[in-house]
Amino acid sequence: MDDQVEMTTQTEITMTELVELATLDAFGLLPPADAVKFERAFMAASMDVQSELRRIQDELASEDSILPEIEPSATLRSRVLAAVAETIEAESDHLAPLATIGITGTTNPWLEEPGVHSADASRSAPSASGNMRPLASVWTWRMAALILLGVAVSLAIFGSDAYRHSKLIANAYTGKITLDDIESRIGPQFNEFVSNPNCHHYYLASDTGSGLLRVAVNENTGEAFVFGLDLDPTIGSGELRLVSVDGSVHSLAIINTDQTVVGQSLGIVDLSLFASSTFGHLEFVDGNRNVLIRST
Amino acid sequence: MVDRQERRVVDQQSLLLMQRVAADDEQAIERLYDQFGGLVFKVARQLMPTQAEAEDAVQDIFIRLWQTADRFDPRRAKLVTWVMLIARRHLIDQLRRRSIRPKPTLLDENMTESGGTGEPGQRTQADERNSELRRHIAKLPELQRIVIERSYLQGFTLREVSQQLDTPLGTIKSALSRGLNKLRESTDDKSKSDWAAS
Repeated sequence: MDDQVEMTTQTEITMTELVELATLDAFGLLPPADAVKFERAFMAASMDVQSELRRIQDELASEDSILPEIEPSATLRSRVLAAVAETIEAESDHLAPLATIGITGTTNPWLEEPGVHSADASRSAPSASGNMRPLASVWTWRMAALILLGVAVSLAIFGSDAYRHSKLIANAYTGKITLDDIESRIGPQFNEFVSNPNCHHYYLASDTGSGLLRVAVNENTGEAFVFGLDLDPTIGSGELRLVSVDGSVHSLAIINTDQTVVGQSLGIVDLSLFASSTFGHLEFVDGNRNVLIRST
Repeated sequence: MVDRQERRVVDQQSLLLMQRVAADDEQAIERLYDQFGGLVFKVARQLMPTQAEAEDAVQDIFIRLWQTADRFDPRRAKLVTWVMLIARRHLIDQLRRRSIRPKPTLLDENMTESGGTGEPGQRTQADERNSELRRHIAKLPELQRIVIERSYLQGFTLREVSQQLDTPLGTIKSALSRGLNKLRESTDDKSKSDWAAS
């Protein structure tokens, strides 16, 4: 098993290195760049190698003898289930038609049973979603604004009136950048993709992270380009991935987030992944694979 | 052959469970918690300084599991691996996001001071919750135990550990991987000896 693993990619990776990466991955300690490398190597490896790596990761993940012998409190189960249920409800509210945006999703006080606002009840509200309803409204507007900005940026390229209009929007949104800035920072490639009628565009936005990503894929040549605005600079870099309907994940690029405006070529992508029968969604994840923004 | 068939059945059951979780099926979410809630809590308690923070983290992890349920692929990993991966990533992320990062400490210091953070009561608690892990880590070569301590228990990135120790990143990765594998082997040996003694 120490021989080099045969792969279709240009880089070669030894079995020892692959086991090393698998181990770090199982403990959630794999840096993003290595995660991409590992994923590619895993997918390109033979079935035997995949099976061995899976076994190693399964053993490491299920190893509980190094974990403390502590049991959760009796109330944790109900708190967790309530938190998940509340998040599901908030998400479904969040996906409501535009006509309902802005209506705060507070529960009907008339339907609440008396006495449920005890200290315990407030504690049972999830930390991640305790204020989900008012936040959902704010983030919905923010997401809508980001999508509108993306649309405005596209229109701007096609006509001078729209150009002036979106320039105003871009200025208003960022307070410091213009479309000239975007072009000067990203280069002429940006314009080629945005104005190319053969390109299909995907927009990524979310209520949980900042920023907007737009992926343009030339459906004739397979060339692709990604353009980003206002991505979270604190993460340093993130990974753009395509998730197929069968759940398989395909890494497209590592994107640095230290600039307000980012743009880079994705080279030639596999167009079959973007076919309507296989395409699930695009997502942008941080180093811990938390999804920051995703396409609808 | 039988093993493979059994694995296929288990994989299929796991896939169905996660598909139901992704479809907001309450019973499936309950089942997922009943199956993994205890394990997730243990790892949360290992990495979070207080019981309350550990319980909050468990809530967030199960929300995350619901959000990512449609991405579970049994060909890629068993369900327990997937759950623990999501859990550990979330917890390490939480450690890294903490506004005040602990001063990097050596295990030897931790053995006496428990990381030098928190109240004395918390220190004792921290020692207790990780005593078994620390006992195993203490047996590892110096670099391996320092790297595990800082990256896994204190939440420093591998690059940060590399800079702190002025050691190449590749060496840090190898040491961490070897250390984690040795930990697993040593706990396996312990399980076997416990079984033999019983």
